[in-house]
Amino acid sequence: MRRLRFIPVLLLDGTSAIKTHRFAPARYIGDIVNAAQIFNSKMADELIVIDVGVHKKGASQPHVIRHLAEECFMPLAFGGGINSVAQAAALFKHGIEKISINTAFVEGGTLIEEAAKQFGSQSLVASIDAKREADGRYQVYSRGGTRALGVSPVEMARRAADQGAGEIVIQSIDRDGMRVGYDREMVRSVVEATTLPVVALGGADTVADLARIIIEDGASAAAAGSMFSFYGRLQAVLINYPRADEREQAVAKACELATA
Amino acid sequence: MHESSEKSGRPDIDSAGHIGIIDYGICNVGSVRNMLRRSGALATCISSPDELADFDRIILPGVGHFQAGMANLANGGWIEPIRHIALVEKKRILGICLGMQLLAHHSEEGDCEGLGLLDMDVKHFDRSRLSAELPIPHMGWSEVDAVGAHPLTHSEQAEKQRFYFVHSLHVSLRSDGVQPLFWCNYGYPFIAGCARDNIMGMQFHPEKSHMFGVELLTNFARM
Repeated sequence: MRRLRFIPVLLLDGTSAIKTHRFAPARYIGDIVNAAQIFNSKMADELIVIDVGVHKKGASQPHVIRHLAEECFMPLAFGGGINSVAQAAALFKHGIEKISINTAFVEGGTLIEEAAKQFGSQSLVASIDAKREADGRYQVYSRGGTRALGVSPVEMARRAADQGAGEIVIQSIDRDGMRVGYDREMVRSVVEATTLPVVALGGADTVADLARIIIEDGASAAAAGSMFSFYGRLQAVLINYPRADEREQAVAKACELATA
Repeated sequence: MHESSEKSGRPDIDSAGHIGIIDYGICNVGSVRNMLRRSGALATCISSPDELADFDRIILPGVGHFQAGMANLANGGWIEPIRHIALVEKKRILGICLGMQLLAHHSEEGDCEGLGLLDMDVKHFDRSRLSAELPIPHMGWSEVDAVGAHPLTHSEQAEKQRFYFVHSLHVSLRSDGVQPLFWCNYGYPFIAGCARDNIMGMQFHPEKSHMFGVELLTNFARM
């Protein structure tokens, strides 16, 4: 009865959606509200919007966030530079379902704990960005992938659970925008370390990748940016989302592989 | 974008009157209003109990902690006015998510009394009945089974109805005076929607459930 969740991720810069490669800005996708409208018309399961312009330009305009929420008849998560309960409260007021907290959590802050008391765990996403280092170990980074923290994603996932997060997004920095498949080892290690729902992000290329990370590796949902924003051999900008029959085929195939 | 089936046509909606959405400072009321407006219904967010008189249908939305929800209702002076319009004036009232749970007598979340409008209690998911891979909260899209005949559950969609859920607790009926409308299964079957006469509740979020939610809210606007 439970449906697999496939979640498009849009990166917000001002009023635009952009896409990054390994966390460096790379391409302009289009107007963010327009992009969200298209995902809405394709009945996407959920949408994640992360404000990546916040560090250089300040917090995004409330009217952009309100407009986004108005267009989404699906759950909408928003993140990027959130560092206070007051900011979180304003976002919920604007119609955001979930807020995604990264730097204010991974650097040791207690924002998730404070916000969970006020808004409930289900609305709080702990977002963890990590890289596979030269020695094969995984390390968490903050501030848009610029500051190494010397902590593993597994340890960070446990802290997220202790603080009362409702969900974890584990993102591979080195696979961002690369379309080489998820870092399945990293995702699986986080899934095994927590009972919280884990959303995989970074590297997805095909609908099969989405289905397999859930069915084979235990993720609660599969998120992606590039594969929902670009299309074809030339990777032209085209907002897309798998149709029901494509989903079913991929799920059936993944189940087959999982039991094989 | 979702102008849909003939049954959500404007003439019906216009005669249905105006829906008041209670804004008691706990959650986003904008998305409920937006979906109703997209469905062609008149909807307004109200932030004072005095305004309840202007509407013949009321929606009580809500997310978050039960105790915080009741505290906000109490602080805003909503509790008696809501009970009055539901029990005496018999206006149609629809609770959504936490709003549904608040209609109950009691919740385990914060061991707290509710509005007591539906003969039911709110209980945590029974972890012992859930297999280990099912996390709490239950978060995501789930299909539901509509039971019995009720105008709210009517659907003309080709696919089975599915809705978006985010919750750690669910209602449990005390008596058969309350009619289950939707069953959902998460480890075990729980009631995803129920009603008694003019008082109705839905555990899921219709305002975040694409055309399935548009249809349900349109049904509420028309009934």
